[in-house]
Amino acid sequence: MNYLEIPIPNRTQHLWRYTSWSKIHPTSIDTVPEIASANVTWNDVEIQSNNTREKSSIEDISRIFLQEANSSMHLVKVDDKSPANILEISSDEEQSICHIHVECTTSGSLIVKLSGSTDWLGLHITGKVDKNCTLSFGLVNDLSKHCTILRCEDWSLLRDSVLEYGELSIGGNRIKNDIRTSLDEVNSSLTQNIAVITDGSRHDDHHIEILHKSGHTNSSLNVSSACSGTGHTIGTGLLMIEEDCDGCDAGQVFKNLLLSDTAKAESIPELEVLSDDVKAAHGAASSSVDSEQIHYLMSRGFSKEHAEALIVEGFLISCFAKINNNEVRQYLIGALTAKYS
Amino acid sequence: MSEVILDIKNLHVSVEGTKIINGLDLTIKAGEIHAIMGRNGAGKSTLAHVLMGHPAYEITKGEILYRGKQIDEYEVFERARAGMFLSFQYPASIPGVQVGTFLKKSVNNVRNEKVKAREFRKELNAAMDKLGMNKGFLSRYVNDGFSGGEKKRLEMLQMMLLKPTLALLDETDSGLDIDALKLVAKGITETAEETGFLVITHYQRLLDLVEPDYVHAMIDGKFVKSGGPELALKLEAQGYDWLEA
Repeated sequence: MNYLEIPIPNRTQHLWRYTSWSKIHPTSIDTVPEIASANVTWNDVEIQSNNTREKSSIEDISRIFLQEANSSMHLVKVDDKSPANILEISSDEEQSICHIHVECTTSGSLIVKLSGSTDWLGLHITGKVDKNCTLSFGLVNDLSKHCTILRCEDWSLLRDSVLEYGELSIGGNRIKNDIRTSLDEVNSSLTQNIAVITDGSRHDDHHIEILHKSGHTNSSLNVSSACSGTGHTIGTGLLMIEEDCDGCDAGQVFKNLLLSDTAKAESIPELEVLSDDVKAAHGAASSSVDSEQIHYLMSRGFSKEHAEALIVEGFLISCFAKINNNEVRQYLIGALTAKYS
Repeated sequence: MSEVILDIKNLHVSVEGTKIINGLDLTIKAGEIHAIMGRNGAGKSTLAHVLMGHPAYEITKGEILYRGKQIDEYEVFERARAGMFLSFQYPASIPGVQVGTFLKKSVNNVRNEKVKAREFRKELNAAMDKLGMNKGFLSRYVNDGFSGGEKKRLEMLQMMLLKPTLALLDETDSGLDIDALKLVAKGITETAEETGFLVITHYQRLLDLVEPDYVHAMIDGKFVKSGGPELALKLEAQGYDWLEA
């Protein structure tokens, strides 16, 4: 199906309830403009797109739009030779697109950094973690404050593989993230930890789907968000466990800190469980900063503002505590600390 | 003659319209240890929190002088920077903030200067050694997942590093085994000699390790009896009923 044949999604759909397609599309919704590729550097060396991307097997408007607007693709192979592979995607053009396909046939790590002053960035990351491999993946969205971002990710995990995933979302002004992970084979495992800061008028929409297609697979999703100003955080999670997938253990938690009267946070975890012998849990919590935490820090000489900033920073840092890979964890924490300093 | 650190005159305190402290007087001089004993709800912890400036409590009458100055208008952090320290009965946990970072920032705040890293490390190591603390403690998040004993130990470590002029210990000994209790006592004795202490406790056993100069029995928000260490022994043996007779 082509983009123009796809009905424009409306807000009755779970995926598009809070961020309409028209606000994410770079021009007008009845067009598919040709959009230039973003610059990609791999450990500080610029690399060119080396493949043509095939049409996505998922009939989703975002993915098909991104493919039709720019069909080039960068193939990235993760190896275990360097401690942390850093892939920087940047653009100062008006609009840019980047497609990355990650092949992980040996255990390793990959850090993706988004930067630049582009007005609109489309990003599609696909990846496969091969049998018995562990991929530690970190993503820092540090794009300029006015940018609109459409980002899709599709991950596939094979037998005995592990994807430990961390993301810090602080860049851009209107962001739509659609991240889907399929645990295709037995004993695969996903830990996904996402920290979001919605300050100013930032609008950050994370839709996260986790599909357990095989028994004895594990997933853990933790989204922590700090919302201030008139910022708006949206987290919609869809956790699906297919039939005959006994022994799965899955959980998702959304936590929001509301730091102003005008900030908004909406968290909607959803479960679809079609197997009997599984563990599946979900939860969401929103609150302001605990006054007893502030009092405790103030009694140690911190001003109220400093105490609140430290609590918020800690709240977000603790989101990354479960990432075992030291380089990825430290990179994410470093980017977060830099934001608060 | 020792400096008067704390001078409380006819203090009355309310929380949401309920009177908790009803006309309390207390003077603490440098180097003195004062113990307050009393039943649950007598107002002991309220006194500690009022002194530290907790915003939930309202002073309706009386005054608090700290080193000769009225501190009613001081914010909590200003009291800390002026040398006041509260060891909490239930210290808050701060996930994501490492103990080492927290201690360094606290010391910088309270001393009002950026203490050199090497100098801080030396002081920290010495204090941790005295309290028998493992260095792995420093990379943990503040009070997050700590046992009761570990929390109190961290409070004592902070007290030793911050070197307060006035230390308020709010039931620091509660729920501790005898070894942990000895560490609390060590924390008190290892803190600066000129520090004035206000130790709130239910039990004699801490006072066996740290002898107070004065003991005050508190009922319904005021001191009904003050005396020396012998008063604590009598309260432990006889309870508080005889004071109401």
